[in-house]
Parts: sequence; structure tokens; C-alpha cells
Amino acid sequence: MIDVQSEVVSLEEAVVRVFGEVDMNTSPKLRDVLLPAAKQKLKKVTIDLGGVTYMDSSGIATLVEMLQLTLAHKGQLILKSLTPQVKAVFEIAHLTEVFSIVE
Amino acid sequence: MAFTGQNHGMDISIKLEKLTRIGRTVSATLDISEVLKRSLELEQDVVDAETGSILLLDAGGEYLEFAVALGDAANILKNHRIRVGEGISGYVAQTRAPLLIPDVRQDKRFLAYFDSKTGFQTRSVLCVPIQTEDKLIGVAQAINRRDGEAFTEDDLVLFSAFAGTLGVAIENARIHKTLLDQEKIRQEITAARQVQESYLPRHFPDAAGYEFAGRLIPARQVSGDFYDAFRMPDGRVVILIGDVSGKGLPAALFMCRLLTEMRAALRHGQTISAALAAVNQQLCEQTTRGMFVTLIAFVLDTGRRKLIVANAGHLPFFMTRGGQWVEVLAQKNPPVGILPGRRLNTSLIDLPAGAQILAFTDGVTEARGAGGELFGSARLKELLERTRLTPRLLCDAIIARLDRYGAGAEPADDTTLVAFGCVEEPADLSFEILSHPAYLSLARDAAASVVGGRLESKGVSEIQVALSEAISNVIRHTYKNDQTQKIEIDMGLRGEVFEIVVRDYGPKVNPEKLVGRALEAVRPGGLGIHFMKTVFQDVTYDTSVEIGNRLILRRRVGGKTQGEPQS
Repeated sequence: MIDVQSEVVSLEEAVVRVFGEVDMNTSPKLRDVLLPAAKQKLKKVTIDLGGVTYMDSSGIATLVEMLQLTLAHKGQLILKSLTPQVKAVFEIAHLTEVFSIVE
Repeated sequence: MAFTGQNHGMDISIKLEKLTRIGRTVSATLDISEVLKRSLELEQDVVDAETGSILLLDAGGEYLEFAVALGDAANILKNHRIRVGEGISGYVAQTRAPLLIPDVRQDKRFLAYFDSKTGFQTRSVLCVPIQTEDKLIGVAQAINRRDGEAFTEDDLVLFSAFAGTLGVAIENARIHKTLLDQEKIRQEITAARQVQESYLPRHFPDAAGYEFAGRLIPARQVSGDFYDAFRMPDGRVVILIGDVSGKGLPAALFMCRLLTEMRAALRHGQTISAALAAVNQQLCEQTTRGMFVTLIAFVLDTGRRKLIVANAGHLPFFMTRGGQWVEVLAQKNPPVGILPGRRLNTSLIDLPAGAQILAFTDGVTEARGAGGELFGSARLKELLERTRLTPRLLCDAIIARLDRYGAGAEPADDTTLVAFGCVEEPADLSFEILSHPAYLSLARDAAASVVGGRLESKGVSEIQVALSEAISNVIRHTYKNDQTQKIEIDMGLRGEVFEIVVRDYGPKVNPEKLVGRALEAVRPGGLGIHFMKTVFQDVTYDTSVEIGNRLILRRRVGGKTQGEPQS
């Protein structure tokens, strides 16, 4: 199960909050929310992963795709509040340095 | 019918303005009687009529009924109806054409009956159909111009325009009412669900070495499924599952009454057959509109590993014997609430260590597939034959299978399962899943249940991720996203090593191609393999299998720790 809430907080900034498990079953839903946000070419998109209890490589792939889209128009993608489980997945994938990750 | 503009000195623009106002007024409200009442007042105004009425076509389309009428006649007319084709209004309903009758005394369609009834004297009449598109809703009539003159063609044009507005307004109000009714039904279903859910046990009794699990997936239309589990005063555990006949709030309420009475009787130390007999008697004595209950009651003596079973007209249940699932046809009894004075027969069953019980309602076997075919007990048996899971996971596996079978559609009937048994050691688990990502969380939960006592939470979640990757790769790459294929999963502890075997029957993979490196990452499959190799010390393809692939994942997990099991 997954729940994704997205909120445009100013003209140039959006916050997306994700709750639940992100796996091959649920990541398409996450992508459905993130893709339009990325296409608006906002300066800054923050993805709050504090509510994510599980993430696998399909979730990582979705976030990498968003990062690529954001960087393409010189925007900024920030991942926020990673749970230890999610952090571990980023570590295994050696992707902690690629993303801007904040507490 | 042309608008001549000759209107005995009345200002046409004023009339047109009134008409516009009618449009606004009647479309501002969605209550049918309010629409009609306001319209009629305006109707009187717009054509300067002494009085008027609106008649609506009944559901059968055979009669016109007075919906509103003005003045003293209103009460008299209220209970009258006119057959379509009779009188002036009946004629208009039949022809669906506006009708002007300057002098009724010279028109044989006029029914003098109503004048004699109301004491009113009708002289001149305007009568127009109220319709939307091609559907007749009713007729509106205006009677006698206030200035004593006969109605004119101009009046008829105005009045027809008025009726057009009215048709739309009535139709809107009717649609609104339908929506309100649907909302009411929806609320009733929500209420029934809440009643039903409030009766499900929030916790299962704690009994060392035993696991209890229950699932109830409510249907769109709530029926009266239930399950329950609680301790009797003597320490034995009661497990109930059943189905109240009928649907909706009545069934949910009936279920609550039954459970309340069963709980009360059993908590006061009655035997299961005495309690069921008492409840049966009570339900039979009170009129319950033909409702009855099928149920199975289990009384489990966890210490002696004995189980008393009473099946009142319910489906047979399953249990494992010597590692095999078998259907148990316990002593048959009629459903509860039909035959008074019956004493229920019970059976006594041994439930040895490792044995499990599974009981369910017909929502399981009667789940419908995309083509309408029932899931059936044969499919359930086949699933069970290939499944060795602890009660909670077993319930999840069955629910996931039914969900796929119904292609994600909401079930037509409540689906309820209970499973319980003695599961002292984290057993070897094996189960078959479809190559659909909806099963990933089941596989992860299964891994956590086996390995949870041996690793801390970080290690457990690493294993979950890597297993999930292994299965995702099979779905995506081996089966090319065909989500109907089979994957078998076995897992267990071999000494200090946790081993998972993922078996598929797709095309062979070339193990040499399986080099995963993180940063080319999001290349299909690559990251997943990298995960597996990072988490498991041993990732091997068993090349001896003839068809498909057999992936073996092994990780050293150490001895038993005191850690809390993950779930």
C-alpha cells in the first residue's frame, strides 16, 4: 500500500510526501504523482520519505528518473527524512552521494 | 404558433422578464415540491391566470397526478388523477402539443367533474406538456385570465416557454433526488461495515506457540460475515467464523446479536453445544425475517492440543495432517436460527504440533474471475497443496490469490478467513505465487517471519529488499511482465544459514550476464542483481533444472537471538 500527497508550496517549489511501501507494485503510483511535478520545471522539489517503511530498486529507479528530469532544467531535487530501511537501500545502491539528502 | 405581440395592452417585455425570472427561480432549487410550488405561483403571474395546476405523469405512464394546484381547490384535487387521453390535460399528455381553449363550454374534452367538485367555474384554459427531450414529465395548466378575457395565442407561447424551463428544473430535481437516495444507501453500507468491523476482535488470544489469524474483506454490499476469537473462563480458546444470510444493515445487526449472545454464553462457562443450542433457540423464537446463520465454532485446548468443532451448516474446513491439507467434514448440523430445540453435534479432533486449521466463508470459493467463473474449492485445494505457511501468511497468500483472481475488482460477497495452529519454530515456508508484483509484500513478510529471530532489523530489511528484487527480476525479465505465470518460493533456516529458493518456469537466464553494478543502476535488472549480491553471500543458479530457473540465495544469519520477530 502506498499513499502519495503532493503540494505546491510556492510558485517554484513543491513538496511530495510519500507513505507506505514502495515496491514494483506501488512505484508506478509514485511515478504518476512525481512525473507531472517534474514536468512543471519547478526550481525545487522536496520528496519527504519519512513515511516510507519499505523501498526497493523500482522506487530507487523512480527517484533517479525524477533526479534526471529535475537536473535537466537545472532544478533541485531533495530527499527528506529517510527511514533507516530506506537509507540502507540507498547505501547498497551507492546512491547516497548522488542525491541531496536532508534530515 | 407565432408570437403576435397583440396582448390586450399587457407589456410583453414585462412578461418575458418574468419568464427569465422563472428560469432562475426554479433552477435555483433542487427540491421537486419546492420547484413545483414556486413555478405555479410564477405561472399564475406570467399568464395572469386566476388559478392553475401542474400534473405529473405517474411511474406507469398511465395517469396524470395533481402535483400542485393553486387556491382552495388544491386539497380537493390532491388525491385525484386523470387517465392519459381523458379530459384536456389527458389529451395534451397524449398529443404532447400545447393546447389553447378560449372557451371550455364549447369543448367536449372538458371534464366538468372537477368544477363540480371544487365549485370553481372554468372558462378558458391553457394546457401545455412538460417534457425533456422526448420524455413526457407531465402537463401544466392555467385557468381563466384574471381580466375575464379568453387566453390568446400569445399567452400560449409564453406558457409553453414556461413549461420548457419547468421540464429542465423538474428533471434536475429528480436527478438530484436519485443521487441523494444513492448517497443514503451508501451511508447505510458504511454504517453496516462499521457495525461489522466493530465486532471483529482487535487482538487474538495470546497462547504460547500458537498463532491465530483472521481476515475479513467486506464486499461493496455488506453481508453478515464474521469471525471471533477469545478465551473461555477455563482458559480454552474459542474461534468462530460464520455468515449471516442476507445482506446489508439487517445482516450486520443480526451478526452482532449472535456474537453478543455467543460471547456471553461461552464466557459464562457454557459448553459450546449448550451455547449454540441456547443461541439457536433465541434466534428461532424471535422473528428475524427468515435470517439464519451458518458457522463453525472451534474450542481449542492449547495445552492438550485438542479441538472441539461444531459445524452448523457451514462449509467444511481444512486442516493439515502429516504435512498435507485435508478437507474435514465434521459432524453435520443445520444452520443456527432455523430449527428450534436442536442440540448440536460436535467432533473432537487432535491438533498436533505443526498442524493448522483453515476455515472460510463462501466469499472465498465463490469469488468470481474476470470471466465470471467461480474460484471454487478445487482451486483452493490446489493452492493449499503447494503452500506451507504460518496462519497469518497463509491468510495473506489466499487473499492475494483471490485478489488476482478477481482482477482487483471489489468482491461481490464478504470474504472471510480464519487460520490458526501450533507454530513453535519458524518453520520452513513454501508457497507458490503468480508473477505479479502484488505478491511481493507477502514474500517479504514470509522472509521476515523466518529470519526475524536471527537478525536485527537492518539485516532483515536487507533480505526483504534483495528477495523482492529477485522476484521482481523474474516478473520483469524472465516472464517479460506476463503476470499470470507461476513462481515457487521456498525458504528456511539450514543450521546458521538462511536459504531462499526462487523457482520459475520461464526461459533460462544466462548467469554470466548477471553482473550487477550499482551506478549503471537503473539499467533493467542491474540494480536488483547488485542488491542480491550485496545482501546474500551466495547467489547461485541451479543449472541442473531442465525447465526454467532455480535461484538459490544464502546468507549466514547466526544462532537464535532474543530479537523481536519482524513482521
